[in-house]
Amino acid sequence: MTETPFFFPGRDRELFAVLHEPTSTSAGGAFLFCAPYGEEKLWTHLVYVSFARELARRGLTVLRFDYRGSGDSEGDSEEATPDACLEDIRNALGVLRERCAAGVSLGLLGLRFGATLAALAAETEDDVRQVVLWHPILRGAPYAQELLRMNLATQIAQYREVREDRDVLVKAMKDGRTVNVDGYEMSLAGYEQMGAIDLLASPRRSGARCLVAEVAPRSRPAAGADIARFAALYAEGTAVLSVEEPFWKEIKPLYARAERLFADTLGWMEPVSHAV
Amino acid sequence: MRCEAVTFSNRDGLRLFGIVHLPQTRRPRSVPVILLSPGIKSRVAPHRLYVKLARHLASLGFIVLRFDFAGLGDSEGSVRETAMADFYGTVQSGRYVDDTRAAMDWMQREYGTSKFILAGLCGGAITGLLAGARDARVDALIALGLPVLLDSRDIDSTRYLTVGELKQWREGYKSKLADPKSWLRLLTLRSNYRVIFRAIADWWNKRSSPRPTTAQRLQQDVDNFNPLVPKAFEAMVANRRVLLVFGEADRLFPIYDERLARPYSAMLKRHADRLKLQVVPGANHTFSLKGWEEAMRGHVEAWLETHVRV
Repeated sequence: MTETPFFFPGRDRELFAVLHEPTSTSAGGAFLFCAPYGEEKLWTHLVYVSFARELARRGLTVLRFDYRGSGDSEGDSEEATPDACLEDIRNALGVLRERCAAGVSLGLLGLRFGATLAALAAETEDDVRQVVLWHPILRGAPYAQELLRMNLATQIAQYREVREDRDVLVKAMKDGRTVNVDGYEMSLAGYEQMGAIDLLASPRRSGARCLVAEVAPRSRPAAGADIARFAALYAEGTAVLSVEEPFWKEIKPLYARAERLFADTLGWMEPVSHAV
Repeated sequence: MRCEAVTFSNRDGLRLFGIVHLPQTRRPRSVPVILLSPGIKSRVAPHRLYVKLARHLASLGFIVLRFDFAGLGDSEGSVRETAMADFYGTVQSGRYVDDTRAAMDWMQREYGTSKFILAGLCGGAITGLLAGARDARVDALIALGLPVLLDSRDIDSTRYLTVGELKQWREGYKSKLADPKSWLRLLTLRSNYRVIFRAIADWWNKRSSPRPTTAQRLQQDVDNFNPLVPKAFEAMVANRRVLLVFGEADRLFPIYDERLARPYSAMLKRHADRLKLQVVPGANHTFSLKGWEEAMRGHVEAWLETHVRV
């Protein structure tokens, strides 16, 4: 297995990526990993790396990359709007195609908002045959509100009160300012594009096989019905509940791997990766 | 400014991944900066703090390396601890000092430099301090939010809260009195009752009797102070320069003040000309608001220009 870090050209920004390649040349397909938003990307980084290595050990090629304005890529955080990230995913898929043998089976994998972006990207990429969505954000509007809530929480921590409520923050974005979300700047375009996403609104146009995994502690499954309804929008969709802690935020356990989520995903992928 | 993705081996033969920021100038400053990963958040750091800091330092003419320690970020290796607190404890005990020295070895080979400025937030700050104490190539240290305690699942850190921390907790609780969600947390057993009890008891005791000094408390009790810190601190400031930057609202600031600065004030005074402390008003541990971050960067830039001959 080899791991190669490099920069590749996006539309107007250099994007950072790491390519995980199996030692064996009998490759069993290739996956592009789509990272979640903001600090969630950092909390989940080790899980992404571990799963990339797991797939490479099984003969698959994996490309992990950073959207513009995130991770090591060029640009500032306000540039990482959903539309811009989707464009970056398409560019990264191009890089992955170049690095793999012609006709190799392509897949997309994402967690939280990265899963949302992976689902949207799969709609326009006909050669994507597998989509793995870990705990996707199904509706963008409540998620955008959740991000604004982080700004309110910072205000309370700093001033002991909310000085700029949601309406003021939205107006600020409309006036051309950015809003700070846990250290990341969000623009009006990012906020509005995010708010317009509703993965449950219509049948998915992608013909890919799709795994939708809800990640929850056993005691508190949260979105089970929605997850099952979303998976049913795919011609070949499977919903599972993977019992894990919410490792995309600060929790007491150290999550370098998500064993049950990995097992559920590998179990679902197995027939295809063996068949290729 | 140009970025390059690089890898190099540590002393265990594991490949470490990093990014080098190269300034535009043909004559970069003679002492490069190495940014050391804070805890688990890799070479990017919370809200990309290191990416932005590295760009800024490169614009000032510095070569900057930020890299992942073994088992973190993209680097090879693994982290076997299953609890964050235990992992942080190993970092605070010097887990990544050798990786830091391997980074200096690599920079020395690659760029021909023999002196380095180490910089880091939290876990990166303590790693820089411990590395500086062991390696004379460290010319200066920029420590952001320096932790001076040891974390572990086995340590009940609520037992050792400083006066400043308890005050911060009390103010936080006061501001939440009118918040129904906070009451719901309290009534559904999700609040930290030990901290609440200690915050109130501290306030009550202060009203009724004088509180023992930190020195008295240290004598009374085995505690969670990092025993490596005073010696490493003295080794650094004895002949190298150190910049400490804290956010005013960072709980690590009162801990530094009460557990290191006051008990070891004589040592700090002896080396006062080489030690600079800056506090960013209102800022949290990670300088997450733009203004806080810019203020922190301003302190770093001013200190580099004034105190470090590069």
